Amino acid sequence: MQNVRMQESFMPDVSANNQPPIEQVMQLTAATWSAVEPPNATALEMAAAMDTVISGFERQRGIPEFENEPAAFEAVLLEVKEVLS
Amino acid sequence: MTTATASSTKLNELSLVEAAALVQSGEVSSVELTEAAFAAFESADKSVNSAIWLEKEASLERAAALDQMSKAGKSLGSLHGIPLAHKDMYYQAGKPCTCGSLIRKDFKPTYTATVINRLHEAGSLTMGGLNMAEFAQNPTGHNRHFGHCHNPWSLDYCTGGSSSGSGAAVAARFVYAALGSDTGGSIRLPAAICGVTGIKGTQTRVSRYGVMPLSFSADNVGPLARTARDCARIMTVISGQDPLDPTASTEPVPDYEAQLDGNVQGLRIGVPTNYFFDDIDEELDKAFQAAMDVLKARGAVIVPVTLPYMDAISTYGAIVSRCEGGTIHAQWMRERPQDYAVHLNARLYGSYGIPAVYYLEALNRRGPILRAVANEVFSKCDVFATPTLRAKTPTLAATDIDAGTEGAIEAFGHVSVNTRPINYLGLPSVSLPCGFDSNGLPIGLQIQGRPFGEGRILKVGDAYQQDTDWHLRKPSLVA
Repeated sequence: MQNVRMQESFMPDVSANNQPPIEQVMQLTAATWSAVEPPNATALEMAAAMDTVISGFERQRGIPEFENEPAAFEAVLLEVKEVLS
Repeated sequence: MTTATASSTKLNELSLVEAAALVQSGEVSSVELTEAAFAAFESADKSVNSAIWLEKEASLERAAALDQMSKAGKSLGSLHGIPLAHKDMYYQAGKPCTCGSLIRKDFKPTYTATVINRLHEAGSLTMGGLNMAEFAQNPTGHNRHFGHCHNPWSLDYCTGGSSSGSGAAVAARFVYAALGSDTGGSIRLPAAICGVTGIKGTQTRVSRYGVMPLSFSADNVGPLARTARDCARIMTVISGQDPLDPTASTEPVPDYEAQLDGNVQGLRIGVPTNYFFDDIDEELDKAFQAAMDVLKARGAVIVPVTLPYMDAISTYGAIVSRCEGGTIHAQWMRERPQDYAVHLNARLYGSYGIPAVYYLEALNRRGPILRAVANEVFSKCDVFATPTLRAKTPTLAATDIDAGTEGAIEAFGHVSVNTRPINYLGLPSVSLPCGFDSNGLPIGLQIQGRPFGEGRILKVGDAYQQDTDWHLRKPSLVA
């Protein structure tokens, strides 16, 4: 299949200077994917605070060592459990 | 362990273990305990507002039946004859279960939670449902639908949440113990703020069948009671595998109470050098250090430890319960968002904008981070201790987001900053009273152990309570 490069005219400008406020991004995502509307102004205020969560994830980029093998948190609970002497 | 007699102590001021011993010996009846509990509610709960519903007649009938068994020489178990009440989110067939919400105001489940069945099978009775944060989703105890729960030590202050009524009712000596639930600190916060003892077990330790869900990955069931010993007795009853809850662990359940030998000689208590003391209030820090001195005097060894990945734990822990809560509430958020309190629907709303890859990253990292914490922390200590909160207990007014109070969102979020990471790690954790602040509000000490180390953290708590009397102090409203 031919590798088609998206024309620049279809690309939204998401450069740092042109990003919409996070609460607008959240609003669009919640409406589009979940059909949930902001119930009040406090919801948008709290949505705006999500940028701290995003920056938290940004700080983790490159750090996580993901589990490559089938694994579960519950298995680690048992692996490191208390053993009474 | 102290001993009490019916004549020397008011019945509602006994510990659960003391009350059970008096029933066992025949010195006190279950009816007497239950009548005393209802009298305590009737005397002071108008100001505390810890109960959403109580059923006196049915409770006294059950108490009388238990007394008949006692007279026939039969005992159902270690809780025989003990009146309890629980956070109003535990299903009992045909009984109210509001979940602290308008949405479930008239909800009556058709089946009963495994933990409630186990408590009944051990001989307890359930007096009713206790106040709580709406759908267990705030750390302060605000509830616009049933009225805020007030701190028995000072009514203008928060109780802590979300198990607000459980903390307040135990502190006010209305009940001997109450189940709470803990997804980000909801047992330990009201325990600390109301001056009682509360434990969340290892993630998977206690069945959640018939318990209102908030977060599949982080919800825990556990008791709030007067003492670590009381908590040990209840944890022994409620823990263990459950064919109705495949997520409940099959690990054997020890007799936690039998492990409370007071011996902490040589026990290594880790004190974190990072995160948990950042910007801590000076009074809370002093109370914590004094608690460590008590345990040192008993032979424990205090060692500094550094918890790895705290930034990741904070980041990841913040979204797991939020995304899972948003999933559970999605249909109601579409159809009746106005029926939630502002602080709740506003918080839930944010979950619908979090990408799934972030949620899955948070879950995927949980095991490796726990392994790293175990390797780096539990190689140096047997348990680690922290303050339960970093700031003094706020007033209800200062944290009332619905009233539009300036700074309320930040103050609200700060309450659970030391408890939430423990849920992400899935560790067992107990909060004990360790002093009072200058406003007269209790201060909490939080102790964590390895997974399935409930017995060890309760043992430390019990040893501490043998040498201190913070857990014996009671609010002035106690009649």
